Amino acid sequence: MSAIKIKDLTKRFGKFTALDGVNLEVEKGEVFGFIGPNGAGKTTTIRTILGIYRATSGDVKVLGGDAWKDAVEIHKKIAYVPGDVNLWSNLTGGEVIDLFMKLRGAANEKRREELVKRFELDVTKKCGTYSKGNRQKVALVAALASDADLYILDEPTSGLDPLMEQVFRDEVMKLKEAGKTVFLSSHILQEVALLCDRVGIIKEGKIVQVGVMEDMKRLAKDKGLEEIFMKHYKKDGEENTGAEE
Amino acid sequence: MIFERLAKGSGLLVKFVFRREWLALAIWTVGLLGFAVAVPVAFNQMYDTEEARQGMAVAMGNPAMVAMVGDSTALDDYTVGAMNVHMMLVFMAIAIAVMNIFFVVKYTRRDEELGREEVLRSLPVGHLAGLSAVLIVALVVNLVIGALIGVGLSVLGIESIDWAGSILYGMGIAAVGLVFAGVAAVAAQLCQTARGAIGMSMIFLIGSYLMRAAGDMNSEVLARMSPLGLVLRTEAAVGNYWWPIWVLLGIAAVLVVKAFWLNAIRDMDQGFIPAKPGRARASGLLVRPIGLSLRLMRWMMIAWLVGLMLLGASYGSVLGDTESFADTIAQMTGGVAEGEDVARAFVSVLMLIMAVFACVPCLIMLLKVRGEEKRGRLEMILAGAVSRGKVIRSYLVPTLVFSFVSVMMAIVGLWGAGMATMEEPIVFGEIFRAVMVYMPAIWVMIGIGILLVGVAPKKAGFAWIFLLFAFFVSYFGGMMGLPEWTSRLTPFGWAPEVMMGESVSFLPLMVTAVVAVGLITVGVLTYRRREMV
Repeated sequence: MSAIKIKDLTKRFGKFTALDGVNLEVEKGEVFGFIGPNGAGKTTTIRTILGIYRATSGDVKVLGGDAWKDAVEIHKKIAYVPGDVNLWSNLTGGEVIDLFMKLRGAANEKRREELVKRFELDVTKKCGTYSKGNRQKVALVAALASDADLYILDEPTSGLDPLMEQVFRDEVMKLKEAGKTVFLSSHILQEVALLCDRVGIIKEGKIVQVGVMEDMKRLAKDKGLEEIFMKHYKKDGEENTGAEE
Repeated sequence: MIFERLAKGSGLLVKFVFRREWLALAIWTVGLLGFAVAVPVAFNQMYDTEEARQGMAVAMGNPAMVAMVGDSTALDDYTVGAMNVHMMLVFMAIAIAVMNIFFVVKYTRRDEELGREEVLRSLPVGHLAGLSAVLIVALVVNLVIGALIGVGLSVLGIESIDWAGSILYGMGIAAVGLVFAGVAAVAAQLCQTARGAIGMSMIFLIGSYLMRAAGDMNSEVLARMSPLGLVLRTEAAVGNYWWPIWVLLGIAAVLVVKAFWLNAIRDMDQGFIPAKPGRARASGLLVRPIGLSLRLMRWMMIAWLVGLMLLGASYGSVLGDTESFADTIAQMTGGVAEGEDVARAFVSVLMLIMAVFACVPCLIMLLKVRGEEKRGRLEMILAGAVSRGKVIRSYLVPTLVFSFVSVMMAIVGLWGAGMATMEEPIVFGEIFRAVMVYMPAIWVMIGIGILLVGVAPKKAGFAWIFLLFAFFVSYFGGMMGLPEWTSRLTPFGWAPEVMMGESVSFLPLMVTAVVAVGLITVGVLTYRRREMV
């Protein structure tokens, strides 16, 4: 059974079409990489999966339920790190972590403490005084400490230093070993290549490629994986000149 | 050389600050000037006889009023000039203090917090240029406002307000403004956050007000230790003493030097009062949506409750002397008929005004849910196992409860002060009934707010325009003799005036309540079905 199943999803904001017939399936227990240029529709897809946006047409099933209608039930089994972490400046990091964890359901105290330590986060500071990286850590600790089935991570390492990135990768590997499903949207191709079983590439609201990471690596051979990804980041006209030369 | 190192670029930054802030400063200037000029003109017309003025002097001389607005040495010869200084100067000074606090903190600690100061410091700009630019602008703006008020007052041609008194009045306001620019500049060095700096400055302002209040009642020394007490001692248009101005300017200068000194010896982004560590864990209440909303709004709620009670008390404190300014009340209520009790007519209008006032915090609380959405913080809440219905309820329920509590605070203040000053106090039950008939109308305002949040979230601010209209009609309707039907355009116009002996008929109240319930229901239902925008 699949953890996420998106069929013919179209999302319009007024006249602007953000998603144009997206089809995507994420299997249970896999780490799925979701990449694409800025404005391609990554965050819109994620917000639709979370039932924060409503599909204009199409069908979005998450953990067996309808993303919009069954949002509350589904969310008990989902942990989420948003792309842009906005926090309340007068609450402390520790308070916000507790809030996010409790809103989801049961909290795993041991994991919380362990993660706070690993990410070296001062939880007694007010969120208003946090740097971007520290705000990111708050969302990461809250998400990773939850006993969820599906982890949706939208550019989770932006603002983290290389050491912390490594901590993050370790944690994702742990989730993978525990058989959890991870939906990872990222710009860091190296990170995606390292962590993901499969990759989906979105461009201008359409899925342009989905592939198994091992196959892609084999195909790429000496050219390197980055080039396969890179060609999708370029505009259509540039594609040939960019990739061939 | 030392100038080069510390203040280079100040001139350019002054222009830059003006460009960023000119509109807000212009609005403040026009507002303060308008207020300073309009009030004495109104006094001049309303109290055109010696008798009327002396009546007012009796009312304003009671201890409650002295505590509120200050003492006056001219109560036996209460000219329009004396009246204006007595009743307005402290409030004008508070207004300009607030302006200075927000302005100075915005361009010092806030810019630093947002990383803008860092960009400026990376340019060939002196270490203290940022602070000196802000303070130069503050100096200019305060002096311009003071001068405009001085000139504005003197050209009114009111007999008891000559040009010497006018200029002193304006300069008194400017001098208090400069003191608080200095207070804010120091606070911005001490605190690490803009929020903290504003809080600290505000505490200083409130402290000054309370010290003046206590001082004006009991102790001249205490009053003179407060900037607000000092400015009253100018007795502009009465005694015309300039010494308090020099003292105030001296205080301002000391504060400014202190701020520069602190700024010079500290690193960017650092403060002298370390931000104290907060809780590492959330309390049991905070981790629910309703706990979160209450936590985010608690200080605002407390401040409004205290404010509404003080508002009630300040109206209540004059209830004992209603006869002496019956004319004013007659104007407010649109005429008191023969045989009607002036005090009751006054209370009747007050009930309406307080009901409208109580809507302000209610709308702030309700529209907060939209603010959270706009700032991207609702996304994480909804990503938890929380329904939209629960989110909107976590703001709606506290708002509905608060609407009742805030009205209660206002009438408790009114009744308590009335008890102390009236010979035959009005029974609490009567006031209670008189204000409770407005509850359905308040709920209609809440309903309009929630309907907009649900149906047209991007235009939710329009609820304020409707409330402003309701305020205008209920406050000035009687004074300006607006036709009866205008008040019927607001939900408040449908409630009976219990204090004037109108019987409480349930039909209009029921209809208003049903409209409120309808609006709230539609608002909640559409909110539950709409996506975040």
